[in-house]
Amino acid sequence: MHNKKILASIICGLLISSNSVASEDFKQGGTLTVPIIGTGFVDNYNPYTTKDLLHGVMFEPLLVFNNMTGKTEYRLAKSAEYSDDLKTITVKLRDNLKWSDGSALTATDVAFSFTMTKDTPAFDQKGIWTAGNLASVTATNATTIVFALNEADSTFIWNLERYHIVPEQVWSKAENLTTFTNPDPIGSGPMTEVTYLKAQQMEICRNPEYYLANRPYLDCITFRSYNDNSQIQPALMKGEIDWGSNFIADVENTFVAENPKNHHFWYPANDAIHLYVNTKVKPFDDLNVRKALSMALDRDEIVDIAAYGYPTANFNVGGIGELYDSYIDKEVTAKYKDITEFNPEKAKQLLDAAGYTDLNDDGFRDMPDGTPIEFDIEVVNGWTDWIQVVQMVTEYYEEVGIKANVKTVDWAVYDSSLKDGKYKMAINWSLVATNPILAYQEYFDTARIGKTWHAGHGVHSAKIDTLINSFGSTNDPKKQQAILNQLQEFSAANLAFIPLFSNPTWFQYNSSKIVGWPSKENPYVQPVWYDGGKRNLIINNLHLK
Amino acid sequence: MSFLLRRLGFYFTAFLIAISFNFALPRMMPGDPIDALFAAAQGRMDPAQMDAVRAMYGFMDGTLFEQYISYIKSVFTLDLGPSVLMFPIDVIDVVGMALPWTMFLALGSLIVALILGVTIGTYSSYHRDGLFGQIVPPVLAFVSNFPYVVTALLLFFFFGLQLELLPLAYTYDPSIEKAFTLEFISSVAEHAILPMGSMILVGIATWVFNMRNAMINVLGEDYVTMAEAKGLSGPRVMYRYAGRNAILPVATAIAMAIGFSFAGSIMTEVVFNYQGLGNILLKGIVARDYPLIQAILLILVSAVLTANFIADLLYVWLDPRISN
Repeated sequence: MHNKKILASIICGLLISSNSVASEDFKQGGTLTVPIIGTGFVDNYNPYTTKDLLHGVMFEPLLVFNNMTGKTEYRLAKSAEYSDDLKTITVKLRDNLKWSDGSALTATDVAFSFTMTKDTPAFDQKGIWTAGNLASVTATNATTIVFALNEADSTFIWNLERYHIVPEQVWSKAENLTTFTNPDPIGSGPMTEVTYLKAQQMEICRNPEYYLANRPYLDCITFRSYNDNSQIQPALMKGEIDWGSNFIADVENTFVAENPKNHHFWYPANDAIHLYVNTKVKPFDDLNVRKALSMALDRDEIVDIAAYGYPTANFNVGGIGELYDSYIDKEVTAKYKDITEFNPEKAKQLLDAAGYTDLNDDGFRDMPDGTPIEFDIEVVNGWTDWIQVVQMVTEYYEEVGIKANVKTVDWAVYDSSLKDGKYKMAINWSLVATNPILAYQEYFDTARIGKTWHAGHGVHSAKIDTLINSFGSTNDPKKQQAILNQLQEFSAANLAFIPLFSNPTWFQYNSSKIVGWPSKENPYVQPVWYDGGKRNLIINNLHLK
Repeated sequence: MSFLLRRLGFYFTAFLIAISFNFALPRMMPGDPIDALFAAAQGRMDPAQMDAVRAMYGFMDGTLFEQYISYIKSVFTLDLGPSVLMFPIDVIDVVGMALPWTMFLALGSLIVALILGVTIGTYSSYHRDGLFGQIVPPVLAFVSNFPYVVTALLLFFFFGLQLELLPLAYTYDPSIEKAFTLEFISSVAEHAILPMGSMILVGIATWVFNMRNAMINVLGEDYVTMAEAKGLSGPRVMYRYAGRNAILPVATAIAMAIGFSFAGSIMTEVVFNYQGLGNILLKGIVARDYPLIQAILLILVSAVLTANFIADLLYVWLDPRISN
């Protein structure tokens, strides 16, 4: 009997992460303290209006797509399969799932949770209903849910991890779901019992009915409210919090050096940072100018000096960075290698050849018609590391005779400037998702123009739209990769954005009382706090030392 | 009486103008609350969802004029709607949670600065040729002329970070229960030392000089010379004769200072993560949380106007010539 229990816990452990050691010997107990940047906590346990604070903590996702390992980590679901025509997804739940109040969690709850977001469009976070592809969600028996799609779409399943599974018994009785604060919350995640709530601190403790034996190892999670990074830094230094996920200036000296044995950071690659170029305005309509502007930059220096060396320089012209390493088409990188190599001489030659020379002897190049070239690179006020990056970029441009200025703007100005394509050049990230196709959708899909930040550069084509949309009609990884390769070729050939580097995933942790953290040695998940699924995997692995 | 009625009319008009600014200001800033939410979500929200979210927060209110009318109505009924940041909590409740802390901070530091300032002002002007009178006022003038943020950050750095003597953030230790216990009260006091201390440091000089100027005028009066000539003791002349008369103009300045001390606590709260109105206002502005910004500005405007009105009443009471 005892052996069976051990075996069961080992299997459960393996299900969570093959890389972590499963053991029953982990001590139960302990409290994890994490910082939240916000206005403070209020008595609201509606996961849709608490801006994701509770996802993966109080509300367990069906499954989690682990972009670090490339695996699908099944959580409430034990399997999720597409039909052959890619128009139906059948999700099977684990057996004997329970809500934290002891009642059964069934397929009806899951179907209700998804259907609920159809009637409350503000909760439809990934637009699964408004986009029109999802036809129905039905519970066919106690543990089976069927998602019926109108069109074949192998990418649809990625949306499922973003939706919260809530108990029908409670939520069906709520009068107005958007103002419903879910008092006395019932959840299915590792931590469900709110032990106290104050304006500046909230504590949630273990779910007595959690489906994994012995999990969570921790007793409670304490959330503490802070104004900004500059307050989290001293809190980390003083050991008040265990898990930081924000930029900390000079982390080796300010944090690690305080206590090298227990203070750690691990900054794996995250989103790719580019200089977005508006190809609708002169002289950026000339591909040679864009190429020259890319060649003029010494990416290694920029990373080292302007960004403390934390990011990784990105020499892939195909639009994606190290985060998506396994998807990168090395041939495209090699073919267009000269574009990202630091070569100011070549940049000057390109500009000379294209007719951009200094006509009025002010030391800067002019357009062939004599108008001076001068442009702003937009960056948000207060984003200090990026402001330094842009500052360096303008210096490199000056070396090849191009006059560029740093323009720091309020984010709202930046927001509309990028969305409406009103910028000349701006620094911004790229979308991070389960698969790079979503980033390409953001870059090139004409349907995104005017709606999101990355499509305002003016490089589009009907052929590319079709290509992007065809991705979902297959689930053959080879065919999908072929599409991604074409998109990388298209990005590189047109250079709507100049790759700079991959941003790090900001992650600092304190191991003096709690261990089990993802790390360089044990990279079981990308350590992002603000992603409910990834957070859930980490919380399930943490335990007392 | 007609004087007061006229003043009331004036304040009402001022109030209307001020709340109109409250309405206009956040709307003149670029960006709207839903764009802010969307940007903060960094791709975890679908653009298709934006209109639905906008509707959820109640931002589909028709033309600007219609919005204005319903805003004015909401001000007078105190039904200011839900906060965007803390949806679905009403801003009135959000403000209700934060206001007591701001009052504690603003009024507490004002009172301490006032008592210390008036005492020092009285003493230093009476002994203006002594060492104290020569050194203390210039030192205070020097300290209070530092930009406030510098003073606050220096205190933060030395006492909180380097010496680790005092807490860096919060109104009280978030791990203890909020109850009328010694533990709670001492925690509140401990957490108030740095934010209040920085405000006192900056505010005290005003009172010293207010009092000092008034005192120096009074000290030149005949009845003071007379009292001194009678051979009355120093402290008696200083407090009973000069001090009591000098404090009248200071008293009217106090009423004005009440209103402004609320505004002044904003920076303090941000630096020390003190959970008052200023702290919330800052986040509200970043998130373009119109209802929240409006509610807090409404409080500030009301505080300033009320304090001014009290100052008017004081004038009437102190100087009977005005009411005629």
